[in-house]
Amino acid sequence: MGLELRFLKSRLGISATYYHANTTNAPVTVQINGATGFTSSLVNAGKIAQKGFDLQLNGTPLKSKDLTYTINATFSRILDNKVVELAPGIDQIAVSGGANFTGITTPLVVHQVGEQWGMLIGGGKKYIDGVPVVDASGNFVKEENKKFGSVLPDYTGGVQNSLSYKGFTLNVNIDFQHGGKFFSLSDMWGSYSGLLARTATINDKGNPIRNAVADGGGVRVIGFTENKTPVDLYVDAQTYFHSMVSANVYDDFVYDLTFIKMREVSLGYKLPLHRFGNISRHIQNASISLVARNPWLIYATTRDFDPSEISNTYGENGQFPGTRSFGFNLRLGF
Amino acid sequence: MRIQRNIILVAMSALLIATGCDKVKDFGDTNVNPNGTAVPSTAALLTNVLSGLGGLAAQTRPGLYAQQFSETQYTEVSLYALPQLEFDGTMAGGLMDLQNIINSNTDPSTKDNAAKFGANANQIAIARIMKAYIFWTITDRWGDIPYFEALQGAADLSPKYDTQEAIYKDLINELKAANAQFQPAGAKVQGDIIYGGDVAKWRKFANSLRMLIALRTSKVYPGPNEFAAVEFKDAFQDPNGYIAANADNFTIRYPGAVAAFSNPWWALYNGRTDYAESKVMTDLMAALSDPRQAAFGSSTVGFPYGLTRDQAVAFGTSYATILAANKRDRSSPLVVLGASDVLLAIAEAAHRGWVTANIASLYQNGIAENWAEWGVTGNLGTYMTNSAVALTGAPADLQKIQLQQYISFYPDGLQAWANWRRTGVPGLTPTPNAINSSKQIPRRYTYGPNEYNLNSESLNEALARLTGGDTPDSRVWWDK
Repeated sequence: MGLELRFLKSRLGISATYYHANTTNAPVTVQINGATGFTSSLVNAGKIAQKGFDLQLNGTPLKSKDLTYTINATFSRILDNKVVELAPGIDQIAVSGGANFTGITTPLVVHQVGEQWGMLIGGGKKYIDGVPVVDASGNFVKEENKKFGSVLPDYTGGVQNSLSYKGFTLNVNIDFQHGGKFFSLSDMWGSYSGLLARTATINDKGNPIRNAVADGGGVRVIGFTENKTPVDLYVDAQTYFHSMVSANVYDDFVYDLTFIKMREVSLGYKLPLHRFGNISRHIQNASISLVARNPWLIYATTRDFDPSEISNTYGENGQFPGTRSFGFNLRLGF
Repeated sequence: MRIQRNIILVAMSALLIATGCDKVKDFGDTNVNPNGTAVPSTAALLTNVLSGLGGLAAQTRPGLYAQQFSETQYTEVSLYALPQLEFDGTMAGGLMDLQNIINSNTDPSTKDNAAKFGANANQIAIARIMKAYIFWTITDRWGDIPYFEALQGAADLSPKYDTQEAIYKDLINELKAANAQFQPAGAKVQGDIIYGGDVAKWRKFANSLRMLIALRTSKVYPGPNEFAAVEFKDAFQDPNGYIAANADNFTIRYPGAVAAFSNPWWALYNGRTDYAESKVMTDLMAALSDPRQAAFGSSTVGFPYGLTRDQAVAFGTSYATILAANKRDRSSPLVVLGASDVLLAIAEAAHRGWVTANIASLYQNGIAENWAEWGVTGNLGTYMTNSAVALTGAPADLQKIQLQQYISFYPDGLQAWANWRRTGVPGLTPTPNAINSSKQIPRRYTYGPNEYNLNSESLNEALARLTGGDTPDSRVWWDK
């Protein structure tokens, strides 16, 4: 269901769409238990109920002879994206996951009946009454198949601004997104091997956590054991991060996909060809522009990996960081 | 005006979508793949399974738990990191291949085609024996697993977990039934890279396997009239015989020229050296002055077991690899079940009073066959006089026989670890650097996430009867 409106001689436009869709019987490769002799089955499965809306706003707040400013903004929100049913007898399909290692099974994305589409599940910290459960040495106790959240963001959108003054045009495009989860393998191994800044911070005593516990260093761990005995001690930094990874407790490596990013900035100039004599007989128009792509990640929940560059559904699996590029364009029209 | 037109447009499109398309039912032959074969070559399936047995008979993890091996750089397994591993890969792989052989040779619509590769009954019998061996290695690692309801594809998507007791009893029955099913006069089975379709040798292998399986339950059925003794005796006395000499060993002979089919120990050292023969093993061999050490390791310097990573790195690079270089060549043969394993098992059974046989000669022959298997020469007479080897007629003889079994199984880590769990021989000390909470040597693997995610109901039933829950310290049925 959609609506498109224009006001003020098309200087302001709004377009809104609300959708409520049921997707049924898609051909899906369903993972099945290998004891059956097969690891997957191709079936027509499922019913997924989606509700959401898209908004688009475009306007020209400034319009004069020399100066024009147009703005185009989009906003999409998923209200609900529930997996109503899957194939008969199956209440979970594994969709994708990252690399696994001996004794280390990283989080994966599943569709589970009754949950949102694309739930990220994996080993996580077990909590009792909001307090993490640890063993007597301060190692976290794993809760199997903890649900971290859907990998789909709550809302996404962007703003494209275009400002033109005489022959110059400045474009600034900003994208934003909120919600959704991803798992960072680089974060996991980076913490395990002591490459990341979080493995060399200062603890609450003011000492580097890499110092020996006997010298006041170490990471402070506060929690309960399984039978609710309080535990409050300092754990050697390397042991802390190693045991977290060996125990497959991934909470600290799962982040939100929330970000605000400036995707592109470009400044262009349309060459006034009529001033250059006879060239305008051969070339109709010419413009040059400077373009910067991905210049600035304005906000993200983690600085260890850029959430806007994640290329897998489940997160990042040893992915190369994104790049920032600068260049210029020359456009000639004949 | 405009709003009216918009409403009409919206209404019209809504109507179109509502009437929509009927459900498409007949896809014709769209889903038939002209390039895919639906009819398997059972010979190829058999070769695939047999050539891949190195994955079961040359495992490092259980060998580490049995302290025959050490890790040289990354020592997590030796320090008892959680062994949460999957068996579904083996089930959907080799076991399903064997099931396909059985199905192709049983189903009336395919059996005539399958008969091109050997008599139907013979193919089925060999497949049943191999299924028994592979399921045996899986249940020895995890305990209760899906067995009776497994390998049925879409017909049973959540196979029930059966008790190890029931599985063990069926393994023995399967081996008996397979032996009875053979047709020696029938066409030889093709694709058999171990025995070339020789029914007599397969029957010996099946009987030998039956004896080892029965012996493994000695903690549950120790007495000479109980289940284990009865089955052992039945296999021992079977007229088809057992593997008594190296000529009948179940050996994989790798071609050597093709990288994909190389000796697994060669492959282990192809590029990295993460494993070594452990100092526990080399000390044992030195204490016995055992000449087999020349074959078991590339030197006599064993790598200490269960060091932390820093300690391991500090130890240096001069240590014995698992097997001497000429025993882990690309084309070196791999013995999956040898005469020495069988003879020493019978020696133990005789000592327990399960069968009547000459313990001393079985014991000595077992050791001699193992020496011959490795091509090791030495003075057997002198070796037999070593006080840790010589049988004196005292009850301690049992431990001496079991010690030789431990050595005879090398480097099949799984058999060594299982035998240690059963016998406690040799006495092993858990590493002082253990990172698991119990600090004890694991007694089983834990169930992998695929079991929790994809067969949770059946798994939970099994967990309800597992004392101690799904931990590496819980005991499998025969490891009481």
